[in-house]
Formats: sequence, C-alpha cells, structure tokens
Amino acid sequence: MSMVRDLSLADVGQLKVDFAARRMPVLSALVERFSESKPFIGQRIAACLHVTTETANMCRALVAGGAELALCASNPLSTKDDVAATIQRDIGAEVFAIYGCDRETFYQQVQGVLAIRPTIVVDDGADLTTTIHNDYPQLLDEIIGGTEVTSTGVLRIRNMATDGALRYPVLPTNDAATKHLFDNRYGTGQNTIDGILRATNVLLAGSVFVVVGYGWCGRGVAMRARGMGAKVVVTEVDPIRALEAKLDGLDVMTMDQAAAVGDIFVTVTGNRDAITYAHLQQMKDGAVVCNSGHFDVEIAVSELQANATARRELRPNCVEYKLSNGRGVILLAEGRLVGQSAAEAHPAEVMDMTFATQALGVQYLIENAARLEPGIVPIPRSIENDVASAKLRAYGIQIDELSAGQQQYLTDWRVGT
Amino acid sequence: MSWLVSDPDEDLVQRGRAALALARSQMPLLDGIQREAAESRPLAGHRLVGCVHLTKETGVLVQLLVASGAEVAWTGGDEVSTQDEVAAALAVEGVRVFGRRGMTTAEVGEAAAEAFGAFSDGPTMILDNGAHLIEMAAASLDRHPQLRGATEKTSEGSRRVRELGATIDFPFPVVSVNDVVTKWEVDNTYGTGQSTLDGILRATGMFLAGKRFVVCGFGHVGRGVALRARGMGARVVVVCRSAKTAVRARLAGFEVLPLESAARTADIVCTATGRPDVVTAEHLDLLPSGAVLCNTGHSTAEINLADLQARTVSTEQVRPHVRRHRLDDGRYLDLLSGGGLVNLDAAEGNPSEVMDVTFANQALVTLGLGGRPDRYAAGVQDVDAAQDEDVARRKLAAMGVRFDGSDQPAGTTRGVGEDKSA
Ligand SMILES: NC(=O)c1ccc[n+]([C@@H]2O[C@H](COP(=O)([O-])OP(=O)(O)OC[C@H]3O[C@@H](n4cnc5c(N)ncnc54)[C@H](O)[C@@H]3O)[C@@H](O)[C@H]2O)c1
Repeated sequence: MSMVRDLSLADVGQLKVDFAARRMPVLSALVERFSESKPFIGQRIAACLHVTTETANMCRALVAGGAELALCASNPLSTKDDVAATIQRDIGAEVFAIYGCDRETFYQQVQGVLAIRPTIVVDDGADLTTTIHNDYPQLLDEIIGGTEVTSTGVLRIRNMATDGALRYPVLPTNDAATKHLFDNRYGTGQNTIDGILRATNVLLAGSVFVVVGYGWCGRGVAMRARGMGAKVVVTEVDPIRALEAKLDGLDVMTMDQAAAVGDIFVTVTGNRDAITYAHLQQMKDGAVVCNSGHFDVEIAVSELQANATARRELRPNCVEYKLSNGRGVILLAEGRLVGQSAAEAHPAEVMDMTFATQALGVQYLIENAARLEPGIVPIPRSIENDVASAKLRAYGIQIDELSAGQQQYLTDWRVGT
Repeated sequence: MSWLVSDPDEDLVQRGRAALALARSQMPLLDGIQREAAESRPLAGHRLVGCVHLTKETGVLVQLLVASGAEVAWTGGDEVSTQDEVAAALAVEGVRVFGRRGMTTAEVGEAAAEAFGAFSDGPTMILDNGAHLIEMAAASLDRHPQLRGATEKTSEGSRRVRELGATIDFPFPVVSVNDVVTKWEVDNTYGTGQSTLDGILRATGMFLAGKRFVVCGFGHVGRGVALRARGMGARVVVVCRSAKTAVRARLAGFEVLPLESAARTADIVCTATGRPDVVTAEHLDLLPSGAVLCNTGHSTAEINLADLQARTVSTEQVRPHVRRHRLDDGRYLDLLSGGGLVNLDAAEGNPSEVMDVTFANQALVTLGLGGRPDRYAAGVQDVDAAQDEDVARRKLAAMGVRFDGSDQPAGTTRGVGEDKSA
C-alpha cells in the first residue's frame, strides 16, 4: 500500500544512502546501539520529513530499534525517488513519497502514513501534527508524543500549546544545541553563501551584506559573510540580539537605513514582511535580495512582481525586477530558501547531528511517556551531551573531565568566597 | 580552413548582446573608461590583436578597444572557455574573432596564429594572457617593425615575458599588468580566493566548518584561498617553501607545517603554487582515506597525477567534478576537476567585477601606449604606480567609498609608488 515512483530505483538509492552513512558517524553508532537495545519495539512511528539520504539513515536507526515506521514527504520537491525506493525495500518502512506530486496526492500520502495509527509523530514543519489535531482527532488517544525539527514548526506547535490545543507532548528538536548550532548556524551559514555564489557569482569581498534577523541562522550567515570578506550589517527587532550583533563587531541599523546602503540582503527572521516593498524601492540599482528563512514570506515578492515594470532572468535562480524608479532589484530563488534552491541541502555531517538528536528524542519520549504532559517538553541535557560526545569521538577529539573537587565546587552552594 | 567567425546565427548574436550588457552592468570601471576613450579615440589607426579567454567580460574589454578607435582581431587562446554567443556578437560589430568553444590544443594554436596574421600590415599592439602572441612576435621581430606595444596579464605569462626579455631586445614596451596591487589584490587574492572555495563547494557539497584544509603556496592566490577557507570555518594549514612567506602566513594566524606532516590529517589539500609536483607519491601515501585533492594554481601538474594513477586500482565519477580514486591499499582519494583549475572548472572563475579591475589595468596601459607611445620605455616593464593609483580610485568611486585622499587629485595620496610589496 506504499506509494513510491519505482522500486527498481532502490539499488541506486541504497548506494547513496550507504555513502551518506559514512559521513554520519553519530547516527551510524545509534543504529548499532538500537539494534541491540531495541527501544522502539511495539511503537508505530509516523514521520513527515524531506525524503533524502540523510533521512533514510534516521529511518534505519528507528527501524533497527524495532519500530514500525511510515514516512511521507514534508515537501514533494525534495523527495529523491531512488532514496524513497530503498527506504521502502531495504530499510523496511512504508513510504509514501513521490517527487513533484500534486497537492491531492500529497494529502493521500499523509493519510497513508496516518493509517499506521501512530504512537509517535516525527514532524518537519508541523504539517502532520496540525493535520492530526484538525482532521484525525480519533488518533490522539494512542499518541504518546512527537518531535519537531524546524524553528518554524516549533513556533507553530508552541502556538498550539499556548492555545491549549496541543494534545500530546512534543520535543522541539530545534531547541537542542546539537541541532541549531550545527544546522541553523553552521549549516545555514554555509549554504546561504553557497546559494548566493551559485546564483550570482558576485564578489562578496568588500560588499555591504545585510543580514535581517540575528538568530541562530542569522549569526551563521553573518559569520560566513564576514569570512568571505563582506562588510556585514545586521537588522533586528530584539534588543538583546541586536546588542549581541553590535558586540560581535557588526553594524546594527534599521531596515530603512540598511535598505539604502546594502549590496546583498538575506532574510532569516522566520517572520513575514522583513523586507517590504518600500524597502525594495529604497535599494541601490542591482541590489541582490534573498531569503534563508523557512517560508517565502519574508520578502515582499508578490508586490515586487506585481509592480515591476520589467522582469529579466539573468541566470538560473536569479531574476532582475525593474522598478518604476528605474532601478533593478535582483531576487534569488523567488524568495524561497536560497541555500536549498540554488545550492544543496545541508551536508550529511550536519544532518547527522540533527537526526541523532531526533532519534534519541523519540527514545526519550517512550521512556518517559508515563510522566510527560501534553505540551512542549524541554530538551534533556543528556541527549545533547550524548550527541555532542559521539561527534567529538568521531572527530577523534578528547576533552577534559571535571575532577571530583571541581564537581563539588560547582554543585555545592556552601563553597564561596 | 579558417577559424574566423563569420555570418553568425542571429539568435546567437542576440544572446551574446544580452550577456555583454549584463557583464557591462557589473563592470563600471571599463564602462567609464570606454566613455572617456570614445571621445579621445587614442587607438585610432591602431591594429590590435588580443589573445584572452573570450568570455562576456573580455567581450566588454574588446568593445572598449573598438570604441577607442582600434581595429581589433581576437582569439581566446583556450580549448573550452570561448563563449560562442559573445564571439558572435563581437563579430557583427566588426571584430575579427577566431575560434570557438571546443577546440583541440592544436586548433587553439592555429586560431591564435590566424589572429596574429589577421591584418595585412600586421598588428601594432598586442593584448596577451599567457604570452602566446608575444612569443610569436618575439620569434618574428624583424618582420613586425610596425609593433608599438604589448601587454601581458597573467603571472605565468609575465614570468615567460621576462625570460624572453633577458635574451631579446624588444624594440617596443612589453608591459606586465600582473604586478600591480589592484590586479593581484582584487583578482588573485580575493577573486580567486572566493572562486576556489566556490568551486570546492559546488564540486563536493562538503561541510567546511571544522575541516583540516591544507593550502599549498601562500602567494597572492594561496593567501586568498587560506583567508576564505578560514572564513568558512575550516581549520587552515599553510604549506610553503619560502621562509619569508612562511613568516607572513604564521603571523597572519595560520598554522604552518611541512606538507609531510600536514598531509597526515588533511581533509582537503588545495595547491596554489604555480609549480609542478607539489603533491607527490610520498604525500599521497600519507593522506587519510576520503581526502579531497584540488588545484587552483596555474600548473595542472601541481598534483602529480602519474603518482596518483600508479596507486589507483579503479576510479569512479561520484559527482560531476569529483573523481574517486580507489587506491591499492584500500584508501580512496577524491580528485576535483582532474587536477585542473577547480575554480574555473567547477565554479565560474572570477566574478565580472573582478575582471573589471584587471581589464581596467590592461585597457589603460593599452590606451596609454596608443595615445602616448613614450609613456613606457622599450623592453619589459611594469605598470607605473600612477596608473595603479588611478585604477584604485576608480574602483573606490564605483563602490561609493570615500577615503582621506578622495578629494585630492590623483597621484598625491601619501605612499604612492611605495606599496609594491603589500
Ligand atoms: N535555510 C536553512 O537551511 C534553515 C535552517 C534552519 C532554520 N531555517 C529557518 O530560518 C529562520 C530563522 O531561524 P532561526 O533558528 O535563526 O530563528 P531565531 O528565532 O533564532 O532567529 C530569528 C531572528 O529574527 C529576528 N526577527 C524577527 N522579525 C524580524 C524583523 N522583521 N526584522 C529583523 N529581525 C527580525 C528575531 O528577533 C530573531 O532574533 C526560520 O524560519 C527557520 O525555520 C532555515
């Protein structure tokens, strides 16, 4: 009853998944650990993720731990059909994912996944979570918990919790340092620069590079832009983040001010309208504008398109819009994630950390099911430490341990001046 | 058979014009110089032959030369870099263009010879990139008394020209536009530094943060690569032969090691020396399995491919620019772009705004030679400091940057002419 393009693609897919596994030492170690301890016996997991080689390796870990697993695509355009085939045939999950399928098929796939009657929900973007709550409330009783991987998904689920709508405990994988440090900061930092270079081939050295939003992603983008020789400007709405940017040695100003001086703009706010049409009109001729936030709502793209006097595709993922003031604004990847659109998704080494955190999160939900309440569950420090230590081992790096005296010093409030 | 581009397809011409317009929009220096030269026409009466990769950026330079009054013949001097649409657009503007994309090395030579002989009275001026035309001229000086000057843009070509100059008396100035701050800083260091990292990323998609990134050579290019690799979060080790360079690298905060030590833990080795046999058998034997090998220096022999081949039992193309060599001891190494220039092969070479500065130097020397032949003495010369200063000012103006010397006339900024060793 699965839905994949063609099972015979599995041979090719398997090679790719194995290759990715070599660059995912933390997750590979978990596969071994779980095949012995079998922590997921009796669990039915519904997962909605990008169907990629890295995801396949997490599926491997969950199945190795004894789970029954069903997987659909969080975005039909990121599905790799050969990988979907090997997850179905060799890893043994029920897969419902076909590259480029339409919306209707996509909802059939979600239905297919939910037919497993999940006890655990693994989500990316909160689509599965909201669908269950809105359309399949009868499933809620059997669900012991869920995980959510992105900032934007966590925000949606947090809003559900605030409204009292969330009916099971959710572990926000994104909140783990082992996720956002690697994925948001270093991963997005690199892939945003990579995407801009591939889309434009502009020289970053000496350019004025405006980072809109100085969160986990924004810090990474700013760090890499400076590393490529750009002069970085940050805009923020949060005073603490703005202060941090200032003390990191960057220029902080309002978007109105930045609009007039920037050569390149990247939005990473996770918010809408970070760059408005009014801002676009203030920009220099030839300014490059792009987004690395989850949704394509950060830049006033539709207003730009509606008001442009001319549109010219300069290169793939690189379109110039002429404004009525005679200046041109160059929009990359139509305002969608520039790293994912013009470069490649995160490398396996980054996803290694994210998915290992996620897999350990699933184990934690099961082990603590009896005491966890519906709502957002704080990430236990033990998971972060576990993942980080495994990564250090893979790098061959040793670190010091606290001595007994130090341990006591840090934990005993009586010790003082 | 002739390599002359004639009667090009109208569609190709249109695409070429669009490409040239796009490049021009990112080349404010050339655009400005062209506007000035279109009035004074310092190249009127000159016959100019050029041998520089025929890309859209070069096309803008050619248009400038035509606008300055010259008759122009051009060839790309390369097997694969000629953009046929640019060739087509220039051909209908009256430029004699020789060659096309996809020629053999022998054919590249034929096209260059044809370009050199394009004018019945012979060329008066040469623009070179790798000293191909200058070598032809040097071999036939007695038959070309009409020659008034030549320029050479690459480090490798400049080295060659100096060698020639040691044995031959050029009766006209041969100006190397490589040893100029505005060329090496912008083009070699920052342009190539960026495009090399870009090439590695496009070829491999690898995560750079935390990687042991070994840069062989710390000249202008090596320094740029080291800076940018560090900027992307890599742990950079510099390998070099000269003590002066090693001091410079160490004081810039880079770890300096002999290649023999650096190779043992390298995740990536990138050569940028311009010399052959930098990475050889002894280093290949030490590299950890999975290491990435690439080159961004002029010599494609920096990584000794014969040594690599001798250890290889099989190869596999794992991504478009990545060839995996499985070695006889069970390790594998990933070679990018066949050991050729990774920034040109896997990425796009220098951005237009970089070529703008490089070509501004070459154009200004050429215009200067046309208008005032006495500006440079006969024989091999460097660009004078005043022009370097002029180009730097033009670049700053284009970027909208003001500095303490902005208001003073060119040539009066402190330190002019002292800064050759930067
Ligand atoms: N491109 C990728 O590969 C990738 C990877 C991970 C996350 N993301 C996405 O990137 C976005 C940001 O993620 P994050 O982890 O950095 O979140 P974050 O919450 O840490 O950072 C967002 C920052 O933007 C600021 N902000 C909000 N509105 C703003 C505005 N109008 N102007 C200026 N600043 C504003 C906030 O104050 C905050 O500091 C999210 O949408 C997330 O899903 C993308």
